Amino acid sequence: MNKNLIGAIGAGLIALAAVAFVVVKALSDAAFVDEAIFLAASTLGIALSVVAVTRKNPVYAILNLLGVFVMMAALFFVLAADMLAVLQILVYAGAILMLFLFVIMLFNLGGSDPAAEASVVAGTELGRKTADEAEKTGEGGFWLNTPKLRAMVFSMALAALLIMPIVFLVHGDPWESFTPRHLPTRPMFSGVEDGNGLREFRVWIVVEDTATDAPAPVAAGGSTLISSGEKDAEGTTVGYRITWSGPMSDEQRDALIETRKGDAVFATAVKQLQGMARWQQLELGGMTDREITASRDRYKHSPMAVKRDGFGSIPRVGWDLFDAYLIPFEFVSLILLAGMVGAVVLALRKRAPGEGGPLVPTKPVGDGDVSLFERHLGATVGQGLVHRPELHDVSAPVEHKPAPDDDAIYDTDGDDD
Amino acid sequence: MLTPKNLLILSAVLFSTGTYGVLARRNLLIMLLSIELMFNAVMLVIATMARMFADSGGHIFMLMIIAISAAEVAVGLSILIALFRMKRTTNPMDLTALRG
Repeated sequence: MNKNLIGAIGAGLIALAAVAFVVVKALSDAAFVDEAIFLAASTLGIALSVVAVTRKNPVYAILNLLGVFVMMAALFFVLAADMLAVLQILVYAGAILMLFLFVIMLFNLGGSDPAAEASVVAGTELGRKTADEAEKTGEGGFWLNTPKLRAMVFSMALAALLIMPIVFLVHGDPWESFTPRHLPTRPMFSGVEDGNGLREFRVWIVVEDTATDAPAPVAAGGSTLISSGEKDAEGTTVGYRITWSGPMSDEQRDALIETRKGDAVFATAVKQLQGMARWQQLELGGMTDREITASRDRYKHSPMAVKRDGFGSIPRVGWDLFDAYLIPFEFVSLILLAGMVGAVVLALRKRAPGEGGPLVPTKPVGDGDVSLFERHLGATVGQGLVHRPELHDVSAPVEHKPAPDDDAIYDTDGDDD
Repeated sequence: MLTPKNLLILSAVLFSTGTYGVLARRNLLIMLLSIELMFNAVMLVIATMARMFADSGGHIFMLMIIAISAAEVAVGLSILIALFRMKRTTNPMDLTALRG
């Protein structure tokens, strides 16, 4: 058994053990899945990106960068940005990197110029002297005199500059955990269809008392419209179920808030409900109370908890895009248009004057057809394709050469046999 | 482990890696790729912040970044193709037309 096989089996067993550990742990702890994805994606992402920027062959660099982008998509998914995770794969991996590959393969941009890359290491580009040369001539070598070394030091300094404030200056809760306490005060909502359109909105408000960091108590009671506050396992009120149909005017909103005077949570819920009433034409997934409770409990301590607000979902992103951010969206379409026109103009090949007719093959593949082909087109023997603008010109007289006899046609090697 | 802090550190590392690629390489294609890597690091910061402040407006900015980087790549690669036609090189040190 050779060493490679043993190594492969060992690595496979370790990977299998890791996967089994993750699966077993995940069954008891939903948040652990996110931790595992984060660890794997961040480690692999850094490793692949370092590999990507150091490859000589651009194709390998692109394939490594593809891995980085997939890891990024996994992180976006953990960060509850589902829509963006999918777009990352579709647009970045599927479109942008493929564009790079097309350019490399169509234009044969192959590898880096070895001399150029070597000059980066040696520091001889632009006529600068290397450290050795400078030392020999007594000028004294500057220890940062190669561009590669300078780039490395600069990027490490940049990393330190970016990381240090995060590590040393930023403390406290919002920076050190994604907990449900930092969930939005936006509600999760769902709708119920009863044949007359969407009738019922269920609004969940995350209750948070900023003064005590404890969930605020909510008085029991209610009307026909409003539930007495939904409670979680610890008996804390986490939201209301409010039934409302159609758009809500400001007067109606104020009247509804009046029914529970002084209940700030309820007032927030009603205000959110008024905003949500615009959604009634949209199809919203109807979840049962049981499903809502189950998903809330499952993701209680996980970054995924934010899911119950529809955060990162296609409807939420689409609503934001076409509502609050409509003008930026339109400007982006202009930028894309300008980019498209610019790409076409820049990449267009400049043709010589008179060039631009159809491309005509001058050397067919079959050897017996050469003379026939050339006689018909009146073309001279050449390599590949030539432009024949005169073939476009219907007014020009077509020159017909007299047909040679059959022997000449089929005698392609010219020795008259 | 999965905290906003760690995610920001991760994106700082990725951004610096991209910076190194732009500065140290002498191949225009790989420099463009490194810029894509930097774009992605910025997107990770925005995704983290969007999650942290639970504001899905951040996702809109990520969408914009994706669209703009697509346009940037299209134009960048066209410039690269035009330059390669003229000079037969992808080494930025050979491109001195704008040097005074």
